[in-house]
Amino acid sequence: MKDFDVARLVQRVAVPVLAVIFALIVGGFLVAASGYPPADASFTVMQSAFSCSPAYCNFATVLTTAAPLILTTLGAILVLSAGLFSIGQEGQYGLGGLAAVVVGYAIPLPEGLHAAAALLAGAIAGAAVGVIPAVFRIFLGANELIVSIILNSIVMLVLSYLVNYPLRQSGGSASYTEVVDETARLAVFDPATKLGMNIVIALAFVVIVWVYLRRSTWGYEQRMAGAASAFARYSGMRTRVAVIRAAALGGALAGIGGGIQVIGMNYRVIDGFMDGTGFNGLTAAILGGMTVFGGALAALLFSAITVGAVNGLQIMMGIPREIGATVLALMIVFVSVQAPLVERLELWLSKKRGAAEIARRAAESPDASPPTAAPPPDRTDAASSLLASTAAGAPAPGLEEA
Amino acid sequence: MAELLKLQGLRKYFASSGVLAVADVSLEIEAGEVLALVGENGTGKTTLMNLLFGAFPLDAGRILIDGNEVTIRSAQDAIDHGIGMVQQHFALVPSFTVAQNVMLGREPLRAGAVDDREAERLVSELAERTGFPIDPGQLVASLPVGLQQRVEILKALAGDTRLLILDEPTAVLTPAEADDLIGAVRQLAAQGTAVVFISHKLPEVLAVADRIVVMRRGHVVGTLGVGEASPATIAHMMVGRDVLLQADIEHVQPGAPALELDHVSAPQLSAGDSGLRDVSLTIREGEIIGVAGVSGNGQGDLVDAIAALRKVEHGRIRIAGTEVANTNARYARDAGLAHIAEDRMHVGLNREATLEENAIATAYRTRRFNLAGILRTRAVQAFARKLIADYVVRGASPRRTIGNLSGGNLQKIVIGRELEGEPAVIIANQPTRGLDVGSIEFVHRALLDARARGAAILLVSAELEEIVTLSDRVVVMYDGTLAGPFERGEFGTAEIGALMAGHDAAAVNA
Amino acid sequence: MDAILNFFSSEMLHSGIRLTTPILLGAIASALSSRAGVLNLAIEAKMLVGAFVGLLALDAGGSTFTAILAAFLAGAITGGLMAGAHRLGVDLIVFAIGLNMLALELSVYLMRVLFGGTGVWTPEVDTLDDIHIPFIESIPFLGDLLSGYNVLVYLAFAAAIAFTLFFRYRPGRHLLAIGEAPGAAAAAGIAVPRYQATSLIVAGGVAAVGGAFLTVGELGLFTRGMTDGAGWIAVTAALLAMNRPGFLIPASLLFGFSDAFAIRLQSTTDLPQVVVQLLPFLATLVVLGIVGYRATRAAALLGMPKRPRGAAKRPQPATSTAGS
Repeated sequence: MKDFDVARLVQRVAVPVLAVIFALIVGGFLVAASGYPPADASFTVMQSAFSCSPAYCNFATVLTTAAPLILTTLGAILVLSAGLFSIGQEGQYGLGGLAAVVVGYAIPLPEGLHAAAALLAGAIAGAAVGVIPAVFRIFLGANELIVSIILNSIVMLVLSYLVNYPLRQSGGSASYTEVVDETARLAVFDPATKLGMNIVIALAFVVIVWVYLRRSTWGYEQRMAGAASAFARYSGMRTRVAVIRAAALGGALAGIGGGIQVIGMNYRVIDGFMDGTGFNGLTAAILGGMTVFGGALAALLFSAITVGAVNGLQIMMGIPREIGATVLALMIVFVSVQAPLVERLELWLSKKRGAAEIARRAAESPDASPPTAAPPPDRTDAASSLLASTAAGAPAPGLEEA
Repeated sequence: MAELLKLQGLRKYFASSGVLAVADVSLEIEAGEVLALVGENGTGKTTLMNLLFGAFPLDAGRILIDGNEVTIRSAQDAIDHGIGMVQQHFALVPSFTVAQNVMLGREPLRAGAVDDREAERLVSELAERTGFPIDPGQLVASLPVGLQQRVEILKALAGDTRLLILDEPTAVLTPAEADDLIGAVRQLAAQGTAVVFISHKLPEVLAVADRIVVMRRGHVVGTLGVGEASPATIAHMMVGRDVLLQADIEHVQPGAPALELDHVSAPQLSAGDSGLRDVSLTIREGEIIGVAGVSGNGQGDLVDAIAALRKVEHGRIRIAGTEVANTNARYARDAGLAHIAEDRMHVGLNREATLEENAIATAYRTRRFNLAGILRTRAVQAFARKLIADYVVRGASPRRTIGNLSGGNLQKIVIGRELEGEPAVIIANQPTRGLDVGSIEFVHRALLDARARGAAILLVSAELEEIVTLSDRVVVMYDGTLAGPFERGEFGTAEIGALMAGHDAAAVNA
Repeated sequence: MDAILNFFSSEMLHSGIRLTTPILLGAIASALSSRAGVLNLAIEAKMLVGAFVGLLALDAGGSTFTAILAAFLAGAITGGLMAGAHRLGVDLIVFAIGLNMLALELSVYLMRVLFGGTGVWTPEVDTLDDIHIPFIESIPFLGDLLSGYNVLVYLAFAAAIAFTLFFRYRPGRHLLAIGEAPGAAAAAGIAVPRYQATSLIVAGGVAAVGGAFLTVGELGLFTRGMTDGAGWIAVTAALLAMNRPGFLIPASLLFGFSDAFAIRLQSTTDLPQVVVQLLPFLATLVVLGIVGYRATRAAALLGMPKRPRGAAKRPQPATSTAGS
């Protein structure tokens, strides 16, 4: 007996992989329509995403781009696995970045501690934004999805205001904040691409979130509350606490994502900082099948395709870089369409199995109706039936629910 | 008289849940006849009628109207064949008026636009003709439940309806409203309409029906003319056959009180259950108390109140001396409660989760499985393996999801989890519903073993036979009140059947 | 008093109405979808499709009328995709997220493939003419408010009014029933899937016309993401209106004018414009909270059990309910 559900695993992997293949095929047609051979284009994307020369390392750019994206992806996974459909990662990311910047330039702290404090501020800001949809859902019965969408707009406006007025760099020519102190910046291994602690932090959180979801009691609680809230409540779990906690932690992750972007890469927040990294995190989470490692991989794929499309297709071949994100969007569309098709296939198969089972049993005992729904055998003595029942027949797998 | 409708060998199998809900049912109904369809919850009454109303496709069987075979693929087909159905859960548009609801889909028009005034006139006329008076201009959302039901009935009658199906129509009504409804149904039948009346409240069934069809586990187990039926005979057919009392159960001397309910009252929360009215009960260590009763008479509320899954208005509930009323499920469990839930598919288990995850649901916070917030995976896996071995859970593996396991094996997981750690009080709510004979035996053995080591057990079951066999004492619930307890030997199925039908306890004991 | 009147300059009134137009069309589309029982988050995608295809048709030599028609059809096809997905049982929220991204990226990709590598495509086309209504035009204030817009502005408001009147007719009545109680509608023999598909298709077309207003109606150019979140604002406006057609115009005006007001505020005073811009969003949050709270209470009073979360999120065909 194996410990893994092979069929389930195959299905989990096969669905996104098929969607990726279909998306690539459609993308190929689009490239062909622009007059370039699709095979060359895809080769160029891969080559430029994963190539590294002494002068400039493309793969390092992929990792730098992926770092904040991985965090917003993790944030989305954490919230969604608690059964809360909040898509507010964009707002959490934005406010998290802003909070990190403010701590980064306004509060003088020693090196190391300063960066940690900035990220903590980002986490708190993200959590504050993240918790609001959960509160609306649990205490007011409002649709958390819609609340989170509106929150994205609100944060966008607030961020724009703050960057334009109170937090605008004095004497600055455009709308942006002060630059964070050197002490608050993340260590950089490769100055050209800013690859450094940002990806290390992101990968560390991949492990942390996996441990949290799969190995901790809190993660266990929120997964049960998300998948089967009646079961969780009956078992004595505090489902409301679990959901609000998940919303806060998911928000914190997206907030940290904003934080490492500003103290690892931009060093300031401009008007327009909210560029879709939060939204793309949600997309990567869906693409990764809501699993931690799947999501992280999807985030990497996301960055690789984006970077490959810019540095490879656009710069080298002259194909507009939007083809990369177009293919990603197609992947989302295909993933969403595949899921119900697989479900239908399964239902159809189980229906066939069930019909076969009934037919088989009818053939075995032609004078009896299907044993599953038949009244129990005539009993004159309850106790003897207790004893006799084990001999009366083997349990009928899957069919004895009446 | 020729039959209006004839069903031949209808069968419905639900692949998604593996349930054979309707198993080769045949029956016929004449014009002007009220046919009562009775049976416990989950016996396929509603599914049978939904087949007739086009909600699901038939797996086998034929439907004949006036002797001609018909195919019913949708509600519209059924309506076209003169069939109207009032579902248990109303299908009304709350912001529409009575007339707008009744005429939905067949609105009268004037100059292209919907003519609401004409609709109101038509509905008034219909209401008068059929004997269900109502103000057609009222908003449905503002109506009490009894009148909402009347809107549903008028909707079902608005076409050229020859057969009216009423699914548990009195579940939501006060006794006076129920009496009115019964009168109106009789009047409708006198005008020539055939009525199928689904219910499990026996007195009203006897009051309304010409013929009574009893269903059990998807089968028709008997048909009675109203003259030959009594509440007790119907109750017997519903819950199983007469049982000879016998106690091949080792004697256990009951110990101290483990579960105490003291004048507990709780309001009705939903149409499905009746709430609790001044319920008092004590269960001692080493004792099984069986709760008999037709479902929907407060058993669910009783269980939820003890498990602190619902609030109570008055009274005290103590588990091993700890007051648990109006606390929460975690508190009640910490006080020593184990709870085998009625719905193992959605409440007792998380079928999307692995066996390990299901096994530790009630104990994951304890030191055994939890080290500073991190699960001890080895201990968890060891426990899951032990559960599989001890309770012979077939086809299971600790790290695999349990979704594909059979009902009996699922219930073994629930019982293995709940009985772990020697709980002081065990609630077993319909612990053998839908199980095969072997699994039933297993569950019974487990409960008796728990009793032998001193657990106090509250056994709620629709199977009278099960209650009588296992219980030291029996209580009967009717409309939120509790009759009894009756000691072993003091009760027989006839008395319990009468109490379940709502007869006075004093009259039974006399 | 004069200061206040001065503040409401004709310019501000004009820009308020103009900013309202795409929001109003998107809000009609969103409300129409919601009324059919579908949360349609792809309004942004359809607006972008309309903006791009409309300009494409105009550039290809079509008249402004054919351009708008082309935009409508392209949006309707997008809506048709959603309807098909809905029929299959696809999670429309995820699908809409994909569509939004697809429209954003694909429009720019095609623009650059077809018209070269610049960030803005400015074809030489004539946008819609403004209509000046005689007499009314010369009335102070009212003239500015009512006259001097292109045909799509009038069309948008007319569509909102038509949407209100639609509910007096049988299909409208059925749509109301479907949105509020699909079970009741189906039980009454109404073809729920067909209504839902039609609504999604029409909503797609209407939202796309909202997008075309930006390109064909006003600017005559296309840039990346030029709807700038108008689709999301439209969804929000429809929610603020609680999806009631009669409230769509005021709700959209609130969003449109808060932008116009903010711009004006910035040019005349030192007050931060964000306060004004935030107002409609905060109002929507309050409305959502109240509506949600009341719905929860009402459900409790009616004795209806709360739907399980999964069922609410992903409606499935009713083939799996057993028992009586």
